[in-house]
Amino acid sequence: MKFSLKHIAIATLFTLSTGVMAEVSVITHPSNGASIDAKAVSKIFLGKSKKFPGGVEAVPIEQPKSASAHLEFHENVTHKKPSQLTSYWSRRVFTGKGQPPKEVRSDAEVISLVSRNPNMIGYVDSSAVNDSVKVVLTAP
Amino acid sequence: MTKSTIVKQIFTQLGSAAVIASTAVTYSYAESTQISDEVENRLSVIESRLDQDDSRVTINGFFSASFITHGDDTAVTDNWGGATDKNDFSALSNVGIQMMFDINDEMTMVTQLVARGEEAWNLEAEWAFIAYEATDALTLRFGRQKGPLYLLSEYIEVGYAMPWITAPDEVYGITGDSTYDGIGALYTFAIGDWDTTIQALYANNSFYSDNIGDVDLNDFITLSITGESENWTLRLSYSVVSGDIPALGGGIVPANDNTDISYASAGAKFDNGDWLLMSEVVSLAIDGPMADTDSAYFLVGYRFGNVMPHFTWSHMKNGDPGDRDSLGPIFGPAMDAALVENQTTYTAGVRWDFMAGVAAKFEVSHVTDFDDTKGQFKAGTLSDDSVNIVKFSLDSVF
Repeated sequence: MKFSLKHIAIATLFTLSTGVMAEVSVITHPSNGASIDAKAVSKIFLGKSKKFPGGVEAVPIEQPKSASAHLEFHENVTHKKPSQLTSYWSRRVFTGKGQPPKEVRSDAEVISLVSRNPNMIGYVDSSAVNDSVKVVLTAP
Repeated sequence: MTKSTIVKQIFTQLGSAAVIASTAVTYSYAESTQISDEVENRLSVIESRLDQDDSRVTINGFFSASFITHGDDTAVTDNWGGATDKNDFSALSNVGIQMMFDINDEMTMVTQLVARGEEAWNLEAEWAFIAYEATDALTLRFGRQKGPLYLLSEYIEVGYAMPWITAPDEVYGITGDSTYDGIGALYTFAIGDWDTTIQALYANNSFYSDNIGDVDLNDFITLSITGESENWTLRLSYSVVSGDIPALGGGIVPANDNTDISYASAGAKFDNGDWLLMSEVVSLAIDGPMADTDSAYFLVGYRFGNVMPHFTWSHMKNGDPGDRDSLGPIFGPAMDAALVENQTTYTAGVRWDFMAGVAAKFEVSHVTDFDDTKGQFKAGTLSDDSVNIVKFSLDSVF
């Protein structure tokens, strides 16, 4: 499935109009000026890219598999189911190609880390977002 | 309405319930300040943990506890620890521990130690290399590493990373050990939506084969190119090596140093989260009287939630019939009997990802079409024209 801003916009309109809000927001430090699309986010969280578009180093922050945002994020942005994601990382790790992103335990932890580090990128349930971070993408 | 749409709707509804629940809780300013203080304290701990992690060693592991048995009274498998019709819990079992040390920003040391049940659980270093990240796109590796001969060759030990308990024997049973000592390079770049990796390795290796004996492999050169899009992986590779092959059949075939051996492969994988399709076609060519082999497999699987039933056809056929005729009417057929391997396997299996990082697998295989060759069994041990094999495993990564 191709993911574009248009799809996101339509999806957002749809969810707003029906009053349903179960979306995740991809967040960065407010000073992050990179234009970040779903493809770039996917590459950063899958370890295929270590930098934001524009060349600044990117440090992704994961949420645990038990978090609802985790499922929503990977279903819509990296397009990987939990078992696919574990298989993917086991192939990368055991061929020495990389390690999965560091994991923290909650939306609040992600927000606080990202708000203090211009290199970090994370995702949270949209209801948890505050002014200390910049939303670069929402999904679905 | 597609299945994934329905799933999405369910999650959307679940999510909206959560939002309603959370908005029911309203914070006063004082409460939120208190909460943020707690969060602050925890965060300083987490940040220091993250900082420490960056400079510390990362440890990962994998483990397979497996069972294999088959229905032929006499047959002994070439691979899989020489499995017989006796129930065998060690032949396919293994454990691996991997440590990654960040030496500095550009250099990483990777060590992977693997112990296999079929080798009395002796630890062996499968990987032991220093990686130097020359640029964002180019990584050089010095030391012990696996050759990217075929699609799964680099992680063939990691059961969890594969749909099956064991990769198709027709393709992966004929390559010997694919760990080499040498210099490798990985170069990554994007072509449109395709993440492309070119991998090269120059190395040496030696291994022991029951059929052949001790073989030294010199000047192993492999080149592979892999393209990955969201759902597709496409791959081509070609490897050449010069082998020092010992005398066979008590000197009927004299020892032959510098025998040219080549491995060619083309592979494709499609995985959209529901369907999994995998196929590879490979060709192993060895100069002289050693048998050449052409092999292929095709897997189709479908995920019903955490359960994936799958079916695989795999096949191998001798690529140089008649090449041993020059050895004469007695020795020619004798070497054919010792070296030529034809067979087809039909495997039906199921993989159940029942917990995070743990999969249970069950497989039944019907191996047949030996064409009067030994197949992937010890010469002279087959008592029938087909063998049924049953396997079970618990695979995990941690």
